[in-house]
Amino acid sequence: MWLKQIIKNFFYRSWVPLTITLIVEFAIFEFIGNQQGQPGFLSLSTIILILNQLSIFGIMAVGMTFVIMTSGIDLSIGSVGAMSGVVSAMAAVYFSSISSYLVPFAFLAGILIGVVIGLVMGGIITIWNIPPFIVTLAFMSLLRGLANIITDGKPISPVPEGFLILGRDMLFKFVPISVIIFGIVFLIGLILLHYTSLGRHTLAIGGNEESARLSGIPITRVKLLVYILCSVLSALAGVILASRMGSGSPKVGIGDELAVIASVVIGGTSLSGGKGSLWGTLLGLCVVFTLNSGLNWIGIETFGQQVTLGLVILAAVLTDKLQAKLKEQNAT
Amino acid sequence: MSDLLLEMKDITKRFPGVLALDKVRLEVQYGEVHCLVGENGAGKSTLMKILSGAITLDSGEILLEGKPIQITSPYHAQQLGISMIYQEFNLIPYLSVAENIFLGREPRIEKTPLINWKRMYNEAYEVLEQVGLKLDVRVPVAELSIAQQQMVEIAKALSIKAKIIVMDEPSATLTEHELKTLFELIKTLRRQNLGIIYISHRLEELYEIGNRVTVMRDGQYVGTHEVCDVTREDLIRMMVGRELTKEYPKIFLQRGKEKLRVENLTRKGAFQDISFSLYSGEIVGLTGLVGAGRTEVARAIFGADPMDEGKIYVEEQEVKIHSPQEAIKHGIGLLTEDRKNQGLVLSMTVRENITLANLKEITNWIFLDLPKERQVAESYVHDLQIRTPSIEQISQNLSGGNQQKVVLAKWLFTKSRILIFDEPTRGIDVGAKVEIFRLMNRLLEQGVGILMISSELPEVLGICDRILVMHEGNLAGELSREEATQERIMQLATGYKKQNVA
Repeated sequence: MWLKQIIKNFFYRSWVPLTITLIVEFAIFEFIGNQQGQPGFLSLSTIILILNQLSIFGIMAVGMTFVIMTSGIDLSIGSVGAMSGVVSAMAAVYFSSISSYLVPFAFLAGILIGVVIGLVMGGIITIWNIPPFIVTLAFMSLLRGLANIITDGKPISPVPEGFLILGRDMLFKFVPISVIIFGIVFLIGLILLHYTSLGRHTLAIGGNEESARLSGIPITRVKLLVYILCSVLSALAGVILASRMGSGSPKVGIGDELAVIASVVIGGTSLSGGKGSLWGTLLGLCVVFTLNSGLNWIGIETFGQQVTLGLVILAAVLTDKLQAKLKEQNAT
Repeated sequence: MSDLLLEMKDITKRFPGVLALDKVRLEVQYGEVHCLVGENGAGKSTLMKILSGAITLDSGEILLEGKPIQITSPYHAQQLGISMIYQEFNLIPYLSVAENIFLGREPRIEKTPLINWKRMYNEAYEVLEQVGLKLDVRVPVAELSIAQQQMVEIAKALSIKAKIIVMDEPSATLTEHELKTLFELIKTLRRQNLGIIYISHRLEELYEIGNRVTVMRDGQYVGTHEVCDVTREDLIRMMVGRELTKEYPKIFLQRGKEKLRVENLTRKGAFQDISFSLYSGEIVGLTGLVGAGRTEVARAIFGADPMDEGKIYVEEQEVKIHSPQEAIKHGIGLLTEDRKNQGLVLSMTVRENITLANLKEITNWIFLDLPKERQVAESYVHDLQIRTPSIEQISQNLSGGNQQKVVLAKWLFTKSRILIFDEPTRGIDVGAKVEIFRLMNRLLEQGVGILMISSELPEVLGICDRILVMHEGNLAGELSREEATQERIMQLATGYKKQNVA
């Protein structure tokens, strides 16, 4: 009886199904890889490869988790990334014409763009009380167009050598800088969520905005900060991507918002707000990106990957529902 | 039997823990306007919900035109000829008047599933004519005035050949002129031999429009009388009726310093010219009928809703309050009537809810001091005897009384000196009620001033030092504890006193 209870309680924890999924993914791809005469999917180098791909999306996903926890959404992140990538690449080219020491400031320029975009979007959402879905949808198109206009639709390239460090350099020759940055962003996200009033306020607003307001929580300020956070992190991700590609392209990041939202939701953050976890988001990211790498590994290309991702999203949501139902049954 | 259109006999309905209706009777004759009166919570709505098929009865019998009927659903009730017109209309705002009238039974072009628009419009004009409304039936309902929407509802009821029309507080949102039109219409309907059940808090309307009146109290049938045979005083006495019991641990303290004073508070359409003060160590009751504007006044003082005019003084200093944040800064706390939707964040734990309004207190630089937070939460849980397995319990899982205590703990932690309780005991069992009153007493001893909004007259009389009564957005009067009786409060609340003086 108690064993059954322990097993039950175990499955109620939202991280359990995701962790199992992750392990199963590695097992399947290792197995199929072996069959195809291509062993070694389960290896440090693959894991680092996955983390490297994941890091750029992960940085965006941290911001997105906060936004979704307020019961909002940000569809503009891919376009924000493209915009900031383009701006920072242009800035890098300009700065290097003055002095090569100035090149790192190009990154700041890209991130600053993120601050401005977040401020404007968040301002429109909070001050005029317009649904974030619409506002960020508008900015998704608007920023994509702007990025294309200022570059005339062509990538900014070549970029100075110093611009490449964020995307291509390794720490101790094997840990990509971008993974380190993601780690730092994730850590800051955790601290913000669990150890500051901003995090608490974010959850309260998503849980019940009216109660939060009547408890004296500055709704406008909190939401504004959350949208700025999301845009800044998307801009940071865009800058790292530009640095990795060695060019500022207005075409990158199309559809990124879907992969990011998928990872956040798979991680158990509720689209209706008030409930969520960054650890869940991290697991969601791992599941999604291991899947992509693994499918590549066994030779299934983009179309198959899209289908599989869709199935995983559905499975995650259904598992969540099932867990909730079991919990309810257990309670009564 | 044939002289009775509707007969409801011995209707009993039990909800978990409450006997909502106890052998209630109601008879409606052909061509009669039958008024149904009682205090809030007397069971009028429950009875009408049974009649409209929204809920089922536990025991009892309903006869329509002498034949026993079982009402299974609102749709079934409509087919039987029973139409309800609620305070909030059941019209779909962006459909046209005609579409609303014929919703779900649109006339078809013969042998096709297509709507016969021409016929629908023509028939819509015809029924609107019956209620004396002339307008384009193609405009969306959202563009009509409240009174017009009400007429459309009545037209809809007529078009489905209703025999009985129930009107729940139809006058609450109408102007004087619109009300006259409504009464004219009701008189016309009466002549067509329809039965009308008219629910209203405004007793003066009974005399204008009603034939007979049935009084309910605490889920019980009190009596039915010809309207011309009973005076307002009789009615009020029948509505209030009960004796006060000793569920109220009242304490008497020396009245302290002035905590709060409001002058000429006005919010257009909600309340006008409200002035009163609140001293430390006292509970001031704010009562009146539902919709009199009590909650609106509280929300305005708390900064939750804007106000148009008026001044607020906290400890004799004028303050400007534009948001709950500012109100909290001035030491004001509001325990809302709707705990689940406005008081708590149900998805958060007891601990998180307790500290939510004052995270500053547990913040070092920018970081939350979680050990201190746990300590704070533990101490309130212990102090207020909140029954919860732990401070990490999700507050959704607590009982009503314990949720109320969590909300109270939240305001205590903000060090509020002025607390506004809006219906603090609604939905809470008797034991927890007494506990809440005891906690209020403890707060009074600490020098807090309490403004308590309540519709429960026994509670108001039992626990308050002074009682303010509102009627239709105005302060109808103030009664001291000594002069207050249920009758006097009801007189003020129904606007009786005012008219007598005038």
